[in-house]
Amino acid sequence: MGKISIHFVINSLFLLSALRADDYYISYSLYVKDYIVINEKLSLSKAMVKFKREGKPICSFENNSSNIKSFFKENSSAILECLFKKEVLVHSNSLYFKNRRDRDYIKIDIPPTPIQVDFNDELVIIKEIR
Amino acid sequence: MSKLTLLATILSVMLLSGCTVQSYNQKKSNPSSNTNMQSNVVDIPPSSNTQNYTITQNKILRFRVIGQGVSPVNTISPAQAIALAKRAAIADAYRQLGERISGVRVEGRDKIQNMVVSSSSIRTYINTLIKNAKIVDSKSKDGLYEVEMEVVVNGKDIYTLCN
Repeated sequence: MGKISIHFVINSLFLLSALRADDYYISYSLYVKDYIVINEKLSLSKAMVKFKREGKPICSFENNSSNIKSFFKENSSAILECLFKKEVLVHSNSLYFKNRRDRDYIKIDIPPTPIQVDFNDELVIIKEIR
Repeated sequence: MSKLTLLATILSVMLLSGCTVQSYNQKKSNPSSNTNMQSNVVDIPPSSNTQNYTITQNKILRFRVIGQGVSPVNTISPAQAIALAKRAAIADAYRQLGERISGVRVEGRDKIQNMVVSSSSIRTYINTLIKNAKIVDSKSKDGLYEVEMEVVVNGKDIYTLCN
């Protein structure tokens, strides 16, 4: 009986931890003009329909917060560097007038990417859905 | 006599096994396979022309670029300025990788009035998708942030891209 209850507790804990993995879409845009950042936008939205597949871990962070908003606020740079490794869309245009560079724009985008954020005690794991 | 034969047999076995071990070791230490692997990797350093390298389908190309970013003046703290300079440097590095891998679209416009060139402008465009690029090194000095970035591309992919 004792063993069964222990198994039940372990299983329910496992299920709870699995349930805590939430599904989100993340996207990012960065505008650079003449080597200076003029605007950036990081968007995170909760998926309306749960993903069918289990994600593949791409990065993990040690963090105490269980709130997704505060976690993203605190670790936005690290999360972006992690996402930059995957894929980035680059748009750039430059104008040369009288043989010198007059205007120079770069826009880099991370297209809306489905991710799972898993809060496990003090470890937050970001998983990418393929 | 039989003892001598036995001794000769043992010696010959030892010699043969020694030879075998030696040849195995030679095989093990022989870096020919490694060299083949390494000779397949073409390192393309920053500010070098890609046309100088022979690109074949079975080669692996490692593109390296150095992106630069400048700290904005109107920031709330020096840390924010450095962080933004780093972002700008990353964007520049991605642009350079795009330039090298997928190329640049160039558009030139000349306006001629009364047989004299009155204005001349050149526009360049890059639209590309970069995957699996990684930051190798980064440094900051006097408000200028530099990021060294590299990406490994299969020659086969470049070949299909070019054709």
